[in-house]
Amino acid sequence: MTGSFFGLDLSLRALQAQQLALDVTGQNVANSNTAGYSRQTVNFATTAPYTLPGMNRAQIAGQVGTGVVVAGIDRARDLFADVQYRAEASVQSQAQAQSDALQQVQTVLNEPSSTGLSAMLSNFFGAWQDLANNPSDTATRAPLVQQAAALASGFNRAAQGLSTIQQNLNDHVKLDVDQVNSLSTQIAALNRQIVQVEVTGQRANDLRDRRDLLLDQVSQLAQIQSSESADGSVNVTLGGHTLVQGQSVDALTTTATGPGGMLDVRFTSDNSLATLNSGELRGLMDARDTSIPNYLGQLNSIAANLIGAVNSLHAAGYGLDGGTGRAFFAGTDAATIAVDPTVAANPNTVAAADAPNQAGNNNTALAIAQLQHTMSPSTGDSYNALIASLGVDARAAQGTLANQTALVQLLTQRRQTVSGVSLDEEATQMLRYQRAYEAAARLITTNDEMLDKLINGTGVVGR
Amino acid sequence: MRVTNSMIGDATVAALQQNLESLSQLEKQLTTGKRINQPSDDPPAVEVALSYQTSIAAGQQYLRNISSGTSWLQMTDSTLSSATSLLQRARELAVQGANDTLATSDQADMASEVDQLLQQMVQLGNSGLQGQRLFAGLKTDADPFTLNAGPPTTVVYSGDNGQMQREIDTGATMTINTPGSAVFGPAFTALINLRDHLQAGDSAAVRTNDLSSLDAALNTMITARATTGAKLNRLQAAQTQLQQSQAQLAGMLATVQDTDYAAAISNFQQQSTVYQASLQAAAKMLQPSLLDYLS
Repeated sequence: MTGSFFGLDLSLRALQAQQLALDVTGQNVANSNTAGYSRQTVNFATTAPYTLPGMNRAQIAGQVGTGVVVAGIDRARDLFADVQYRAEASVQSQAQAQSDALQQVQTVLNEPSSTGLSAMLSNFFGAWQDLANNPSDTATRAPLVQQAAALASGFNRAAQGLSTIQQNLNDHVKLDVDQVNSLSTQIAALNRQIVQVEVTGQRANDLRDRRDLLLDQVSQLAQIQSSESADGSVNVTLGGHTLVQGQSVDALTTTATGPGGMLDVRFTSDNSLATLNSGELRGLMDARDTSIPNYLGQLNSIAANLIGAVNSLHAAGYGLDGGTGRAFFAGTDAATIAVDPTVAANPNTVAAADAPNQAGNNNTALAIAQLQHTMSPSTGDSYNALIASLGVDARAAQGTLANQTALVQLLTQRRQTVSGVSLDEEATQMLRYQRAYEAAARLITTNDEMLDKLINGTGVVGR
Repeated sequence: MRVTNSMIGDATVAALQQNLESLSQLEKQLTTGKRINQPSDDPPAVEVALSYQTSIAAGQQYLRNISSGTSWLQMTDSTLSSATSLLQRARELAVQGANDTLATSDQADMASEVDQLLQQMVQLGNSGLQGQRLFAGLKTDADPFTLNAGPPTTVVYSGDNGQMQREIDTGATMTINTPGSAVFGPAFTALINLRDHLQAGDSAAVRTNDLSSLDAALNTMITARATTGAKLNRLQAAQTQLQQSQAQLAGMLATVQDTDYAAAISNFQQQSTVYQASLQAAAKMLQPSLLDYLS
């Protein structure tokens, strides 16, 4: 037989369980916009029924339920979606870095336009034609020197611009490595807290959400693999090398031992090179070590070919002052090309003639002007090919980025499908818990009235 | 599929962003008038556009070269025309001077007129364009002909036979100058001889030698003028051809790089409708939840 106060105890447990459930709903609503938050659900369970099996159990109908208890608070999370999301987010960040860098290169080279290097080359060769039209006129020489100086500084600016982008990418590598280290340290700290909580049998839902968010963030910087130990801590490897093991971190460092003295990324413990398969770091380093040097190399060889061809014709020619054997351009590549100081100081030293003392001789000027189409490949064609290949690369990077962004959006939705908070759902839960709470309270009232009848209304016959 | 409020929010933001991006690209095409504003917009088209631009700039330069060559040749032509009339006047004098019945004083007057013609001819031989002597070969900075009074009178040529080239189309050059010694040399010799023979009253020599050498000099002059005229014609033809191809290139460049306004405006309106519709849908979608209906 159950005791007189059995119903009160049962109702109390119901009140407590529904109240806790309402609190969890409150937490869900409160965090419906929190990054990385997974909705939590209350896992109700019945308490141990009465009576328990035994030799001298009470002879009543049974068993009788004794009420409800909250067995646990679970977080809704699809771990497989996490793995997929992180892999694709790595590739997306890589494409973003690559696309951003190429966008900057496009801005620096500024084509097609009426002020880019392509137009400057046309102006330069045109100025030689003008000199050929009027070789003895000093008035055509100053404009030629100016056009040549404009072309040279156009090359200088482009080379400088590319180098600056490269340097910025290098600086960004350093920032990203610092960021990976900071995130790894936080992951290790959360590992410690999670183990401490979960060893007691509780679930560290919110701490796990925070750790998952950190793993998402690391994934954007560099592709990682993570695996969870039995104690709840997570181990992270980067390119097959341990990054976080339980509560310890093998931090990354940068040293200026990469290509061209640029930073490379190594592990502190054994100084081994980190294998960066995808992620922003990989995108930055690809742009820094492959794309930009490629464009810079093409630009340099265009400038070097132009310098060589113009100078060899110019050295064989004669200036208005009868001088010969002079260079027209100084420098060796896009960064250093300049009008030769002698020529810049005195435009009459520009060699238009191929023989001395012939004021009307324009053969050298004409030959240099004709370099525009006699060089093979021509300067203009080489430059146009550079621009076209830049366009193709940038377009491909934009395409990859767009695809990858769509994919990441899809996976984000998939994660949200499982983990996201639905306010409609929470409102419904709220109603449900409220009603259950009200009913449990009514049960207490009913029990109370029964006890009142028993205690105060019984045995008063004849009073 | 379980749909949550933040999913709707994220998807709405992403879709609005995408619509706005398409709208801004179309807006850029409309405001710049260019379909391609950077290499990645259409890499093959950018390469073609750049090479058209280079060709157009080169074409403009060739037109400038042609115009410079035309001035030179026109100046040459008008000088040779004056030299021809001058020789024709000398020939008239020679025809009169060949007459035995002429008085000595008349012959002396004619001799002094021929001497004037000789000096004018030297001046013509030394004419220039913007300080460059037309008939000096490549030594354009000094008068090529010097008259030494003598006796004997001589005209010395200090120019050379160098040729002056202009590029009038890709790889096509034309010699535009006329070195003077071959063109003016016979004229000077004929004029000097005519003057001296008239001075000496030697009608026979005028009749037998000078008339024919004047004819030969005239012939040389007329041939040189014909050559000049032919070159002017060739320049004219090259100019016409270049202007046509420039117009063609400009049209092709426009096709490659300019915005197709009809298509762009229609796309813009379509896209703008889509954007407004998505804004309205978002405004309706993001507001309500079950909480709005619970009391």
